[in-house]
Amino acid sequence: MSDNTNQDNKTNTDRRELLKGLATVPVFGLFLVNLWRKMRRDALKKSNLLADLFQEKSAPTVISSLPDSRHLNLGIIGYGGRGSHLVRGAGFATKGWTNAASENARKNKLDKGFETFMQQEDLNVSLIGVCDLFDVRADQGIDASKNEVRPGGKPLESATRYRHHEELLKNDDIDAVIIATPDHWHAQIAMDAANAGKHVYCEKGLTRTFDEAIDLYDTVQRTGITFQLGHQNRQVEANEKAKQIIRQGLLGDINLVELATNRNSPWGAWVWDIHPEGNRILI
Amino acid sequence: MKQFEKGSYNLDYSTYQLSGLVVLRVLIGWHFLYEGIAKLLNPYWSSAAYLLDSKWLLSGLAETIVSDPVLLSISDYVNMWGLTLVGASLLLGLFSQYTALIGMGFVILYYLFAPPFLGLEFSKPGEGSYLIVNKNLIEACALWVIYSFPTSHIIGLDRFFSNLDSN
Repeated sequence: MSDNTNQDNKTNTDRRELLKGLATVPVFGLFLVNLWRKMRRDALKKSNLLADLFQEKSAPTVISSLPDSRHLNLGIIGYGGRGSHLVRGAGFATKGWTNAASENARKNKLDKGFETFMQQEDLNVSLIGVCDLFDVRADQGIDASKNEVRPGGKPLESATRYRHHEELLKNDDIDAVIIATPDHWHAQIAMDAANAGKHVYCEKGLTRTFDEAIDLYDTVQRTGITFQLGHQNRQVEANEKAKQIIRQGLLGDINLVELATNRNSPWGAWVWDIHPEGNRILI
Repeated sequence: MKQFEKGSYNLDYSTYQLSGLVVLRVLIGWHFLYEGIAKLLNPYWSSAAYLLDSKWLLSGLAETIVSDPVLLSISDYVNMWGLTLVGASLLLGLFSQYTALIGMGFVILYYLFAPPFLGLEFSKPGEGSYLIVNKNLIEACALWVIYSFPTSHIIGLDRFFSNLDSN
């Protein structure tokens, strides 16, 4: 009997020992349960936010390589600062530019200019017409049309030089033109190009007057060409995303928008020097 | 009443005293544990932001740590794992007396890196209003109490490692 009592006491003591030793373990369990719930809630909140953010009507347009049967021949009208930039976007840069860019990339690994140029899509196009009044610029355009350092490799054809845009537009082999002349020429050249059946990428600003805008609009409608105005920022994915974020109310009601631009330098204001060998006599 | 000896377990607590001390220990453990785990779970967490805002005596040391990637990464790991382990230890009552001291070291450092003294301006607004005394200082004192009045040998895993014969 007394043995049993002792035994019972010992068991009770052991149990009490165990309970006291483990008394705070349930609190630890409670902590883990709540930690798990919080993590799950945070993950859900994040995934909802991301789902809202990435709800796209359609993916940004990506032009994949076109088959040879759809090879396009381009003409550039105005191969100046902006014109050469646009033509680079189509996959043609001067040898001077590709040499300098690859040299920069070699010197500075963070300089991705050359890599970006070489990795852009091969648009399956040739640059076969360059129209510019400045000989130096026109020669650079022709040089770019021949440069084999480009996405897609050796160009199929090289460019012919034109002194007047009407001559260039007479070339039936040209499918589309890029217009990057001074602004006051944009509307006239774009309408001439449309009437010649060429597709058009035209730099901004589009026209000088309201009437010109109507005329150009009507011409594009009548001829049925594809026309794009160079408001390239409209197509930048960051801006599209910002639009979606605002539309979906992620920022709530917008009651103030502050914009700033800083172009307080001649370079920023596009006041660029004329090339020293530019034929000034024509100006 | 038994004599208090530093570092010894020769203390008798009333149930109220014991409950109060254990609750204090567990709550501080919980706080440390989540502070540590939240940092471990956040891939972008770094002690740099806190250190960069450091003022007073230790601001020079803070600058040295932030400017050296190795020191900064050591500081990050010590914080993340230190807080987690100290927290788990206090909560479970495992080696609590020692980790209470380590935890006290942590919060005293946090206090000294950014003390709410007169004339010191911090770029991050505080979540309350403090004059010399802030919650870090109070938590450090609370950990001093936990060190001085150990409970893990009564309620906690330490019970299985020590003093089995005394109770």
